[in-house]
Amino acid sequence: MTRALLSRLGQMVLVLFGISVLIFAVFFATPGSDPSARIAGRGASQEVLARVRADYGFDRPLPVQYVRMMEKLFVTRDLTSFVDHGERVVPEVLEAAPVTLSLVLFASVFWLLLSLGIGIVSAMLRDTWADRALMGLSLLALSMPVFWLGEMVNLVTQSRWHDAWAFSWVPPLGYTPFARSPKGWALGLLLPAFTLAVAFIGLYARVLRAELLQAMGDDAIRTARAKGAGPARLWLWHGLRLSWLSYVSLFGLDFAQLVGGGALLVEVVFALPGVGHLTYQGLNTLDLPLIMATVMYAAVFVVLANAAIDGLYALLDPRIREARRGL
Amino acid sequence: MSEGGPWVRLARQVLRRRGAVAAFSALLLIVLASAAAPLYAAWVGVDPFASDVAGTTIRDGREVDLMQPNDNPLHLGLTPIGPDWRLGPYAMGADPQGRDVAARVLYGGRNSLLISAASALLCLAVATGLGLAAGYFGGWVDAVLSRLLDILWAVPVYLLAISLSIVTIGHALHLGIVTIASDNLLIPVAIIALVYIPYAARPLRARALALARAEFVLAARALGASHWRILTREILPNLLDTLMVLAPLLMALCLLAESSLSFLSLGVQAPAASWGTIIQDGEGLIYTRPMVAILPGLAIVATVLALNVLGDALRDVLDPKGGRR
Amino acid sequence: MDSEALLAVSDLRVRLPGGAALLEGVSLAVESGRSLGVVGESGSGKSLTALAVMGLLPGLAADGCVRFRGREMLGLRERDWRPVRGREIAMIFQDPMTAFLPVRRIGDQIDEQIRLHENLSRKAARARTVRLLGEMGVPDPDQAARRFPHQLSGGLRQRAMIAMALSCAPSLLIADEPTTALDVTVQAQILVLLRRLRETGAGVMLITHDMGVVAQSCTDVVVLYAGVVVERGPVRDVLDAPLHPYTQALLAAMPPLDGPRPERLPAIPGQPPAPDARPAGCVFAPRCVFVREACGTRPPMIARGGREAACVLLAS
Repeated sequence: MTRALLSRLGQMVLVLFGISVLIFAVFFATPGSDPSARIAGRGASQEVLARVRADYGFDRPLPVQYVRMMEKLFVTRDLTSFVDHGERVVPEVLEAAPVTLSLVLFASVFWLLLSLGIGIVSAMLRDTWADRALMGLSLLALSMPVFWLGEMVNLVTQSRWHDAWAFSWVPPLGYTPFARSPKGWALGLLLPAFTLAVAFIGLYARVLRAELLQAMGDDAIRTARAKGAGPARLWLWHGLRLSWLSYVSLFGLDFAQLVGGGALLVEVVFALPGVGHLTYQGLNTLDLPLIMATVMYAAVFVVLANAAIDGLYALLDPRIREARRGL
Repeated sequence: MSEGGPWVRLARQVLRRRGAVAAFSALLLIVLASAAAPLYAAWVGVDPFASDVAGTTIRDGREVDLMQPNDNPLHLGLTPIGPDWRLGPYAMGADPQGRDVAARVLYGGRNSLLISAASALLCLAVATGLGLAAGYFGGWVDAVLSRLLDILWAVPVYLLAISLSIVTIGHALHLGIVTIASDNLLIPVAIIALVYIPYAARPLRARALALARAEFVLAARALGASHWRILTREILPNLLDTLMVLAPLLMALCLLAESSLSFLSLGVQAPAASWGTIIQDGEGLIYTRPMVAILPGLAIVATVLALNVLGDALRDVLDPKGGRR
Repeated sequence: MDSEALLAVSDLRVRLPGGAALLEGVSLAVESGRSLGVVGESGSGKSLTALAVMGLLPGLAADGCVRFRGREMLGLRERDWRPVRGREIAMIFQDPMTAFLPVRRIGDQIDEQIRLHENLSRKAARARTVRLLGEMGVPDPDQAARRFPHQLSGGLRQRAMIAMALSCAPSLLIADEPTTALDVTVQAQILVLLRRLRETGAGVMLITHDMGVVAQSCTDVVVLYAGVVVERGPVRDVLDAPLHPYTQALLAAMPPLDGPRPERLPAIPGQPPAPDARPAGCVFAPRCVFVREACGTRPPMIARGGREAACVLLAS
């Protein structure tokens, strides 16, 4: 058990190291351009350039630069933005995190509940018109670009029909912290979260339906029928228990990716000041340290979350637990 | 054997599905329309790439300004002319720079389709190479490649694409003697292909792994066939069905990625258009001239949906049991 | 006294959606306190017969007559089936590895069956589960109930499966190749368990391809070939003097229960016909050494000395 845990830990450290090298290389070792010019931003003076070069050690060899950058990001956490007048980057990222976390949590409630419902109903009504309609809608849902859907939602709820009874509750775009007004927090996140969830509802409903139908062909399900189990027990207690493994692992991955910055487009369209929005601001001002910090923190979060999911997976499936113990 | 080769049979089976036929026709229509963009622009007489904020057009027999005084009291300044739903110049209105939206959407389709198709193909080609190597040779080759893919996979797809775009944008890439201009379409193609490699490589690796242990491969090996021969003659042909299922689904993902990057001004660069950049152009006009954003969005939805339906149909025919996403 | 059997299947026909017939008029009966062996090669339709009796045919059309305790079961609604399955008729499946849900504990799965049919507390159900596991010869039953299926050996899993089937004291037990996946010593122990069950007054229907298993644990036997019953009768009579050429060949291919093993067992040449390629006449005719012109029409069951067989040889 300890050995398996240690080996998993070793793998995680390896992946973390690989990712940091990858991201570092993308930002500071792309061939053919001077990173200090890009960090300093558009139209920076010679003095600023010189300062950047000295501060980041771009005159030193690459491994030294890498170590220095990691130190600035994770140890001293004093990476500063040159575009934004010396604003410290890491605290900015940590400050924006709760907004993103709220949005994604909200969205995941939507997408779990709805995809479970749609997936199960669709599987039970397999090959009827209702199944076909639900699956068609699901496919449509996962074919929509999320930023466009967000704009359409804004168009309807902020402008065209904002005064109609259906949407008069919609607050203006932006974020209200939970501490200031829980109700404002929830109302403000409802539509962005739903927009974010739409594609996932479609995807997860389809995955769950396919997995459920496959599980229902299992010998164990026949045994359950031979025991005299009714349809609800058959589908939920037996079928779902057999098929939700891949559903859960998929969820873990997507959740982590969204918290890590995948929600960027929704945050931009709905003007939510989350981590993704921060990245977006960085894009507009070409603020490389800021972007690199958000990407790096996102990747670290995703790796940690994946490790957590692996653990959860083992809890859910005794066979995997065994296999791992035997490692 | 039945009439026609395996391709004919496959096509016949796929086209027996009504949804697949509709999807295929829609796709064909979109591709043809996009290809005909210059014809359309010449026919209605507009230049979709030149800013024309002082220009005029003919509406109901009268000459009107492209940029009209704003009718919304909250918005100062000028608003581009709206759609008049009649075949002719500015049928779908003008964008903030006075350019014909309909013509730009057609031109944008060219870039969007080209980039997504090219990046899907490039991604599949690289992923096939990696998947074959990892699945067939196994051992340390597999271990190293799988870890590399894990690393790539751990960075959120869009963030990686954004990072790669931001460092290549506005600066020409000097790779030895080759210089790639920053507005070259190869850059978004390569970036999008790169970020989706793990997505495509995983199923291909699994399939290659299974094939490497298949009896006919062991038999070929026992007969002394070279690795190269086994890979190209025995395994690659059997990967074709997986590739064919992946291709449309991957192109749909690439199209969504391309439009997202372009929406963030990180993909296709002005004055060239893609569906994503046009939605970006329309963002500021969303409450007054929503058609600028609606039209390219609908084009994306239609194309992605058609690709997904087609991919589903291919999967049903080629691989009735397997496949997740 | 009404002497209707516990289970009476008559003229059961099952066909594929495409029309090919899988069962062509199977008739058999299981009496309380007796056990019927249903013997045949794979593809003869014996498992299908068992599933039809349980109402578990996967998407196949069945007609004919399946009477359980005088009640017609074919075409019963799913809702009416539920109180019967598990409580009145229980089934043991061939492979206890796949038949248990791999992700739940053995004890939970047995408890579930008990609580589906009886209004018992969790605790009472578990107590019965542990008692049953103990009776089935599972060592340390309390611990075993807390195991996952993959953590038990094949023999223990099958004992757990039997414990589950018996948990509500069914009056009919259907066992579909219950010992095929097990080694010989465990097989013998399982067969003893089934015999003991029969002695408590329940009816047992044992599906197998192994005449030896029938000889050890059944009172009656039905021989199936290509979806048709070719012979039936009490086990002793059929084993001592089989009437149908197929039964004779089957018995000849069986190693003797005791005494020295012969060098080579005679095999039946040829293959059983596929469902869509069955002959119009006697289904065994293409492989039969006694085949004659009269075999071109399907022979009826002919009674002879307390048993029946479907062969023209008996008519002459």
